[in-house]
Parts: sequence; structure tokens; C-alpha cells
Amino acid sequence: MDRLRKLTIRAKMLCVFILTTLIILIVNFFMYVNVNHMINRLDEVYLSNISLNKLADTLSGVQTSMTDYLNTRTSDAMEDYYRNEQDYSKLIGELNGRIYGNDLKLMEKNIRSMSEEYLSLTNQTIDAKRGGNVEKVKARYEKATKIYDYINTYINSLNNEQFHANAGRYQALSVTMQYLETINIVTLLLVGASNIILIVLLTRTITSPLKELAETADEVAKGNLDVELLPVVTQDEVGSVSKAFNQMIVSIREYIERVKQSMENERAMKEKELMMETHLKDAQIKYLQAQINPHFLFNTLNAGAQLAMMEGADRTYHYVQKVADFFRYNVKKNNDTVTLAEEIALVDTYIYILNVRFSGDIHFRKRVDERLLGVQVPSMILQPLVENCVNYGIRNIDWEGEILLSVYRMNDTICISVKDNGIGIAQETIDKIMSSQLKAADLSKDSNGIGLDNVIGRLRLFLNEEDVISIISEGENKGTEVLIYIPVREGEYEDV
Amino acid sequence: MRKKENDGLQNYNGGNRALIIGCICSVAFILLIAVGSMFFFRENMMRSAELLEDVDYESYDAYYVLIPSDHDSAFWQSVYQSAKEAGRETGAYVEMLGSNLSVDYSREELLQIAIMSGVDGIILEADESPAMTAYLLEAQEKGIPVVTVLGDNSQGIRKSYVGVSNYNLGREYGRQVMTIKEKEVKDVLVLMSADTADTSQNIIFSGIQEAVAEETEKENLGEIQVRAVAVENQGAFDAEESIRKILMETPLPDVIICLDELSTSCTYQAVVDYNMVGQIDIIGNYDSETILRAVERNVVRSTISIDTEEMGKYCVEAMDEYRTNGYVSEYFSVGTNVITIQNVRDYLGGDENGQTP
Repeated sequence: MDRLRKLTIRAKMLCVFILTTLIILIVNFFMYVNVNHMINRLDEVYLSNISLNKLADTLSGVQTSMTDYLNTRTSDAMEDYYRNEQDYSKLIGELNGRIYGNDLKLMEKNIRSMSEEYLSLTNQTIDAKRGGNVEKVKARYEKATKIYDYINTYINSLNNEQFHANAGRYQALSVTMQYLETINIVTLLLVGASNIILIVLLTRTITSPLKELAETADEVAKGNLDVELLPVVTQDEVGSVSKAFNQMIVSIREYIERVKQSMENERAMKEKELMMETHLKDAQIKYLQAQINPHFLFNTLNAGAQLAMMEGADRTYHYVQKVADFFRYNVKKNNDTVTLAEEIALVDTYIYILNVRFSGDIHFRKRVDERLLGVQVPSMILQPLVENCVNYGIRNIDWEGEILLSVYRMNDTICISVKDNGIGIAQETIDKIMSSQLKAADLSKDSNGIGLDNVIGRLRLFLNEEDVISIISEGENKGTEVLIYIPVREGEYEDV
Repeated sequence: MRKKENDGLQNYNGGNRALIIGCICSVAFILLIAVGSMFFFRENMMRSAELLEDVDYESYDAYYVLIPSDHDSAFWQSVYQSAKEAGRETGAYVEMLGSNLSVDYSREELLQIAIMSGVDGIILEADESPAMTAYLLEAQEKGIPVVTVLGDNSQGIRKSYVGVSNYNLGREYGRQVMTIKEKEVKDVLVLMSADTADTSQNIIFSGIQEAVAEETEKENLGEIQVRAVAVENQGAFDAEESIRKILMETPLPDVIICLDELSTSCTYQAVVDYNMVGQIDIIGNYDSETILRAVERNVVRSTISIDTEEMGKYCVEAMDEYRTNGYVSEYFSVGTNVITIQNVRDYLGGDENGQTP
């Protein structure tokens, strides 16, 4: 089998055709031998008749040559007679001389006996002729002729009888011949049919790997690389092509895998970079927070407040108390989720502190939907926005600065708006802010460290949405509005 | 991936196995056909070979020939069968000479052939013709013993004679005539062979005459005329024409006596054809199927049959006895049976050839 697998297609094809042709040849040869044998048999059937005919011819030769000699007395006729006589003696020597229980055999025996008698009589006749005894010649000739007739009758009858029997045999043989013919036809048909099956089976083994290869190649051409690998059983041309094809598919798959891997790596690296940045920022916050030891600060401020109370400076006391509240919130609520009310309270505190600092320069107004005060928001989102308004929007303006905080509901969204009437922001800067390109380095020195970028980032993380904020400025000196959108989740604030 | 590949390989191997099985099957099928047809052919060949090969015939010590006057008649066939059977027991093959020759030879010619063939014995239905006597002499010269049967040659050259006593046979016929009581018998016609050499029928005829005369005298009946008429039977088919002619032309007899099988059958048929049943009583000879049926139908009144089995057996016995001892009894008497409507059933039930059951 292994050796068969190593054969080339050409050799295989040759094997198939030689094998089937050989089978047909052998079967045909076998049939030819049979038919030949049969024909020989048929030839034998009338052999006995042929030999009897020969016997009759020779007998007639004896009689004719004797008559000829009696007529002419020539030595030619004499020679003829002796030759015929010898032939005839030989022929009758082959006849049956024994008594068998069969009439035909007995006829043979009778022919033999009568022929012996006949020959001795003809010899005597010839002798009498030589001796010139005319009387004897006549008598013997007549008697011999009579016996000759009898023998002829016997030979003819025997010939007839044998012909009869032989015809029966011939009949039987020809029936056998017909059988043989039928057998031959049936055998040829069956052998031919099984040969066709054999050829179909064998050629299928040769072509089926080729077909499979073609099908798989088609599949691959359509773009499906996830095909089964071709089995490589034979080591012929198809086997080589299949092997190469398999190799190709495996290589392509490996290549694709490698590309995928490198893309994955790149993505992971980018993520890591982002994480690093976040952590840096976190660290910055921690640092800023760490700068102020809360206990020290609170104790200090409390001491200041008590001092102011003892001295009777009520306003100072109140002021210091507010500053303490501001920082406490800052420390406590960092990273926590708070209600909108708490955030607004912090903004109020902040504005109070600033107004004390800048002697009431900042006009802060609120327009808040009371029902929305319970909305949960990340801590420290409003105060940085208000701080921005104070620091960038309305610090160096010639007119009266004003900040408006409004909270309202618009369809499914809660809008928190911080609006000033300051110098405004260039669109370029807005774009930069929105795409987080404004770096920490750009932050102003007197900010409390939590910039707009941070607010946006945290809001995005908290709400799990990108579109959480928008900054609107209609141009230079036309003020700025920062809007935070908090989507209302189903079931929340239905009464609003 | 590796597993998939293996699966593919397995599938392929499965396909391969089916293929190998298919190939083996078809090759085996071809072989089966070839062997089957060869076997079938051999069988046929053997059968035909058997036909071609010579059968191993039984070998015999002696060869006797039977030369009857008519080798086709049922009577002689029956005698021949019996003789053949008897011969087989003693190692002698008996042949009915001339039965399978293309030329219908006369008894004399057959006798000559037998002599020249150097047979061991001749059983001959002889007659008194000089030609036959001459050939009998020739046989004697050659040392071939001759036994005559049914017909004798009185020259005494033959070694023995097997036959019925013709006189007694005639008397039996006569007695059969006298059993007819239903009607007054006035005229009895005896159909005799035109062959004058056959003297035995003369003896039969006188036997009939004597028996009839004795009976009429005893019973005081009116005179019964017994006359003979010659039936031409020398040529082929003569007998039948001749008998019909007799029935049409001569005054109708009351009883017709037939002395052989052929004339019995012919007379029976003619009587039936001419619607003379009951008018003429037939007393026949021999017991062929046809004759027995005629007796059963009461067309033939009675038939006298010679015991052919005994006859054949005696012939061979006489021949064997002579060949062993050098002498043999001159005369073997063969019995006769009278078959009438009373006992015809026994014969019909038995062998067709009329051997006594």
C-alpha cells in the first residue's frame, strides 16, 4: 500500500488500465481455449463416419482393381489390386473382432469377418485368373461380388447407424456450444461491468485528492482561511501540491496571528500611557492635598475663629468659619459622590470667601430648580468652574463681573450652567480644552489645582458618556457659559 | 489544527478502506464468474465427453443370429427378446440379423451373410426351399450349427427344431370353431399364406379339418365346410389388400381363421371397417395389444398365441446344448395359449408381448 502511495499519477493510471486489460485478456483467452476445445470435440464427432467412408472407398478400390485385372490382366491393375488389398487389410485390422453386446460393434465384427472371407476369395479369384481357370474365376468372382455387396450394405448400414448416433452427439455438443456462447456473453458482460467499476473506483482515488484540493482552494479564494488542512496520503504530484498548499495556509494563518498580536501590544501600550498620565494627575492632587495638613489647618482656623469671637470680631469669626468649612469639604468629599445641593453650598462658601477677599466685587446669582438638588454628582465639579469664571472670566474687566449658576431640566437631561459676562474664551482654546490638550503646566498658579480638564474627565468617567459638557463663548468680552449635562436615568425624577 | 489533520487522514483512510474492499470485491467477483463458468463448462464438457466415449460393452463368448421371416413383427420381436435374455445368462449374444441393415435381405441372403460372418450359431425360421437347404449345407460345412424355429427344413441338416406341433395347433383352431354355439356355422375360411414352401400350414389346415369333422360327427351337426384361401403376402403390404379383397369378393364365411399375427390384425380391421362385426367370427393368432383389445371388444372371438418366451429360450438352450455336448434333442415343443374374452384381462394386464402372467 505504501509503495502504491508513492507511485506517480501516470504510473497509477497505467496500473489501472493494465490491470483491467489483463483481466479482460485472461477471460477472453480462457473463452478462446474453451471454444477451441469445443470445436475440436465437434470435429471428432463424425470421425467414425469418416473412417467408415474410407473403408468403403478402399473396398470399392479392391473390387474395381480386381475387376480391372480380370478384364485386362495388366500388371498395373494387379499392382493396384495388391495395394488396395493391403490397405483394406490394414483398415479391417482396426475393426472390432470381438463379441460385444452391441449391435454396431457386432456389425463391425461381421464386416471384418466378411471382409476376410472376401479378400481370401478375391485372392483366389486372382490366382485362378493367373492360372487361366475361367470357370473358377467366374464362380469366385460372382461370389466375391455378392459378398462385396453384403459388405457394402453393412458398411452403409453401420455408417447410417453411426451417423444417427453421432447426430445425437452432435446435437448434445451443439447445445453445449450454445451454453458456452451464453456463458461467454454473460461472463464478458459481467467482467466488463466489474472492470468499469474497478476503473471508476481506482480513478476516483487518483482524482479525489485533486478534487478536494480544488474545493479547498476555492474556499480559500473566497477568503475563508479557516479551512481544514488537506490530508496528504499519496506521495504523487497531487500529494506534493497538497503539501505545499497546506504549508501556504499555515503560513498565512501564522502571519495574520502575528499582525494581530502586534496590534494588541500597541493598544496595550497606549492604554498604559494614559494610565500613567492619570496617575500622575492623581499624584499631583495627592501632593496638593498633602500640602495642607487638615488637622493643623482646622485647629489653626478654629483657634483664629475663637480668638475673633473672644475679641468680639463677629465678622472675622464668621469668615474664618467659612474658610474652615471650605477646606473641610475639600478634604472630606474628595473622590466621593455628593448631592447637587452640597456642591451648590460649597460654591456659596467659595463666593463668600472671595467676596470677603475682593470686597464684594463678585456678583453671584443662582437660579436653581429645587427639585433637582438631590441629584448625585461627582464632588468638586462646580467649584472649579466658578473658580475659572472668577480667575479668567471676570478678573480684569472694566465692567461689573457677574456669575450666574442655573440648574434646570431640559427633556431627559439635567443642565447645570455656570455663566459669566467676562472676557470669553477663544474657540481655539475651547477646542483644546474639549480634547484634553491643555496640559497641567498651563494651569494658573492660584488655582486650587483641580482644573477643567480634571472636571471633564471625572464627569465622563462618572456618567460613562463622552458628551457631558459644552463650553459656549460668543466672542471676546462676551462672556462664557459652561454647561454640564447629566442624563436622567429611567425612573429618576419622574416628578420633575 | 493537528487534530483536524488527523481527522482528515482518518476520513481518507476510511475512503481508502472502502476502495480496497470495492476492488477486492470486484476482482473476487470476476474470479468467481471465471471459475463458475469454467466449472459449468467442465460439467457440460464431461457430459458431452461421455457421449463421445465408447461405452464399455459387455463381452460375450458366443454370437448367435436369429433369422426370422419378418423381423419387425411383434411375435418375432418377442421371441428375439426372450432368446436374447436367455443368451445373456449363458454368455451368448443373440442378434436379430438384418434388422439394422439398410437393405431388406431375404432369409437366404441373411443366412449367407451369417455364414460368411462366421457366427457361432444360427437360429432360423426355415422353410423347405432348395436354396435354403443349400445354405444349410454350407453352414454345416463351415461347422455352424443351425436351429430352426417355428418353420422347419425337413432335410435334417439342422441340429434341432423349436416349434409348436402344427397338427395340434390345427386341432386347437378346430376346437375353437366348435365352441361357437350362438349361430349355425356352415362355412369356415382359413387364411393361408400363398408361400407354397411353407408346408407347416398344410398340417395346420388338416388339423382343423379333422377336429371339425370329429366334432360334427360327435354332436350330430350338419356338415361344416372348411376351405382355405391364399393370402398374397410375398410383397410388401400385399396381405392387407388381399384380405380386403377376399372379404369383398368371396361369399362371406361364418368364421375366419387367421394363422399369423399380420392376417389377424388385418382381418380384424377389415371386419370393423366393413361393418361385419357379429356377422363373421374371427379366430386369430398371436397376442399383440391390438389383437387382445379386439378380443376384449368381442370382435375377435379367440386368439391362439404361441408362448414366445418359451420359444426364444428353447432356441438358445438347444444351441448351447449342441455346442457343449455335440448333440441335442431334435424337437422342442412350445406350448400354446388360447385367449378368449374370459381370460383376456390376464393378458392385457400382463406384458404386452403375451408372456403368460
